[in-house]
Amino acid sequence: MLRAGATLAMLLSCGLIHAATPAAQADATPQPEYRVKAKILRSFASYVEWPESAYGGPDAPFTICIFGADPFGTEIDEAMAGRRNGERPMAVRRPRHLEEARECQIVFVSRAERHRQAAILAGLEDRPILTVGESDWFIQDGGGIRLAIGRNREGKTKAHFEVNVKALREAGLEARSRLLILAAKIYR
Amino acid sequence: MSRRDRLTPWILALDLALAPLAAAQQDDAQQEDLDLEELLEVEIEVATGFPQPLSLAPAVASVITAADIEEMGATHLDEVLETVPGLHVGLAKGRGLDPVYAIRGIQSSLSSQVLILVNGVPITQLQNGGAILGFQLPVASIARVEVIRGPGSAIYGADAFAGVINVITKTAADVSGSEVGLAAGSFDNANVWFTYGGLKKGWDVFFSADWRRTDGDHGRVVERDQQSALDEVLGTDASLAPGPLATFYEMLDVHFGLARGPWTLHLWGWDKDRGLGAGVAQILDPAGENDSSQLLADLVYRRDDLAESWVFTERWSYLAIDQKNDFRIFPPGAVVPIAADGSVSFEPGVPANLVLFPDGVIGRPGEKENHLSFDSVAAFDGYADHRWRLNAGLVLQDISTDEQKNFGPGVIDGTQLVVDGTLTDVTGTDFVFLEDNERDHYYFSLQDEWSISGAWQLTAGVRYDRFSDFGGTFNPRAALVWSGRHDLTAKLLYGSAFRAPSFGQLFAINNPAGLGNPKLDPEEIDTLELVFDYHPVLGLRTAVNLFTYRIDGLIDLVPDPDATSATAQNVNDQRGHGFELELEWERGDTFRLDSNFAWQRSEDEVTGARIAEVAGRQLYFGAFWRPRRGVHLFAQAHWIADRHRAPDDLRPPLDDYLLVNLGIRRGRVGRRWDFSFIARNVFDEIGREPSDSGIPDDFPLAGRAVFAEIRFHVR
Repeated sequence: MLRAGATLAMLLSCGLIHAATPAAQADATPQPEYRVKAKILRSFASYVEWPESAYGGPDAPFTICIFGADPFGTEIDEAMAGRRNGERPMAVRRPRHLEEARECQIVFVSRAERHRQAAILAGLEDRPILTVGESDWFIQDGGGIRLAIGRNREGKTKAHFEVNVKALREAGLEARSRLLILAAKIYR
Repeated sequence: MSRRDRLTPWILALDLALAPLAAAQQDDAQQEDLDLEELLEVEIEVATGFPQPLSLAPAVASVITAADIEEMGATHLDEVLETVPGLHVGLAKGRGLDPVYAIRGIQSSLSSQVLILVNGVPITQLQNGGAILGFQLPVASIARVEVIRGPGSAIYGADAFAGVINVITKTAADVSGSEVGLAAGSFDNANVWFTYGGLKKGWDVFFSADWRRTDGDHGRVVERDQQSALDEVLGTDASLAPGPLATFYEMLDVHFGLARGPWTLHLWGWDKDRGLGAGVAQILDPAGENDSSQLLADLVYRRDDLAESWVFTERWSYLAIDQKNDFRIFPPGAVVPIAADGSVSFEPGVPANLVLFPDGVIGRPGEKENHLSFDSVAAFDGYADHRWRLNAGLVLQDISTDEQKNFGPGVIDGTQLVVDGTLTDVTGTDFVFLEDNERDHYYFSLQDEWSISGAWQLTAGVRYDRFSDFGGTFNPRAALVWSGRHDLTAKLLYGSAFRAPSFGQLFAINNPAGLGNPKLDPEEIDTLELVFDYHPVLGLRTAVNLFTYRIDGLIDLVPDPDATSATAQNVNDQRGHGFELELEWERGDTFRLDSNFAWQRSEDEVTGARIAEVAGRQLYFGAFWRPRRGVHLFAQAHWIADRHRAPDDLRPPLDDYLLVNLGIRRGRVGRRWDFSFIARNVFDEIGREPSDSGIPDDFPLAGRAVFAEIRFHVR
């Protein structure tokens, strides 16, 4: 299984499968949870606007940070490889310290950190950072977007997300209206 | 280095070859990429397997994280370990009721058959085996606890016999900012702690300090002790029973961590003064004390960039142990038979005079130990489906002892009929309990993790240890892991392990009731395990672990022929088998259930008698509920059952007991404050752990206790 995964990773990194599969993705074959979530995380960059002060400089990349135990593995690196958000190249980092995470544009707070996520979110709240998490209490603890999966009426498991508009506003971020239309739930 | 890293050159080569094609396709790819709306429509395949590789580990392992510890309201390590399947924390009989970690029916009085590591470094003391006297570890510094049930000598060497407990302390990555905590509760319990973690000028810095004290539960009263029986025979009135067990203590625990680049340094300082529980001779000793302290310094240098596919980890560590004791072995006013060599002797047939000790029979044995070790690991994953681990190390240990006492060889000879509390220093003489000594020890080990196919993995390893005092030992292990389905893992495990005889067992002198034997061999165990780990649906994990083991050469004291003394010998063989069932269920982050049941049957290989005093059955049940933001509730129940007496112990069997704990935590009040309230043993159940027959009605456990705690966080 590992070898198959590595082969797949290799093909993905060459851009071979990307071009060939969108139709298939939308149809039949279910995809691994964190492959889909990695792409959703990436796409949030296009639905939110960051102030210039969010970046270290004009050439600084757009950085998505995974804080805590990484559930994505290589999926997030593959989803971001060679991508740009506007003029800025996209990058992935895995900071070990909260201080380092304060330089990121999106911080994904791992579910493994849920016992101290309120402290983590408090430590990021004065920066223009979109915080994304998965734990049940992520929004209540002050997080920006909660990403989850659930079964719909046909019994199919799909992703959905909730947006904490207040947290985004206080962080100095502007959510595009499309993001709020697609959100399963909005907290104001 | 991971598999992915190994593939990187290939990926790069392919990327280069296909670069023009990829560039041409990139715009298309961007456009054809699914947008958010479409991504929300993609059907997701959910892997029910837990993401951690634990279920794939080539051992029966449990990991308890800082988050789990906080959730269960535990304040020290033993409360955490009691939740591990098949592990029960009992009480040592003769040494201040130290914790005894019994795993699968294997136990010894100082847990010397369980290897305890702190950040991977053994903290086994030479004198008795097992951890330092009074060992207890507050949780404020703990990032996680890894427990392996079953043999680990092929990796960890000596004493990884019934299991391995590895405590990993926090680093700056686990803590952001500072936290101060205060707790107080029953038995005049008080606790203050502080933790800090952060980045300072490129250095990872972690610091924690925890101070606590308690008077102990004065309700843990024993009605009779060994002295009560002596009083009846000799017509004296010296016994302090009925009276409480001396369970008071004061403890300081300090950790400091510093890391930068390949270097990591841990310093750990620990000191505890405490009462002696039921005394050292099953005779109440409220005035006696044990003062233990230890320092562990551990420096690690790790490089994964020196050579392709290699990771090198070098570790230097130094452990200093200091144990001081003040024993009233018999209380003031005791009359004790003293033989011609000055030792206390109850042996029939040994001429002895009855001697009055108006200040009690007093002993102050002390010891200091130094352990210096160097360990080197090289991991190589550059060859096909193999991952090799090569390990070698050297350990240099020494012990120096001191002793003052008012009895024994070289002090008295039984002709004085009254002996007061004047102490004679026998340090450095032939009359000390253990002479100064040294042990050198080196080892090599080799392990291969072989991914035979996608579903099958075989881990095989072997380790050779050579000790300067008792010789060499060779311990293999093999683990076959099948993970052919995303929801099921099966493992077949074999391992052998050994326990090194302690210095007390090898070299004790001047105590006719327990003489050392330099010819001892290590105790040996062979274990076979079959494990199924099954995740039928998301959030539900079940596991079944079956085990069988056979132990050769357990060390015990055997009466010497034609003499009145007893000497340590490799005499007993034990066999055992059993199973553990584990069930964990979680519903999001709102509700979690963690439960396990363990059954074991262990017996003496020769006589067939059940191994005494270990729990034949035990059940743990923990429920953790978060009804709304910041509110955490928990309930825990521990049931300990089916404990037999030794064949020559005619007391009725031990009663089963059930302890229930409840707790509530209100977290993040104003984002800075946490409040919690915890009640232990809420039904005030009188649980008992086995004593020697000197204290006939066993050792009562603590009654109902309540604790309140406040924490304040500063970023």
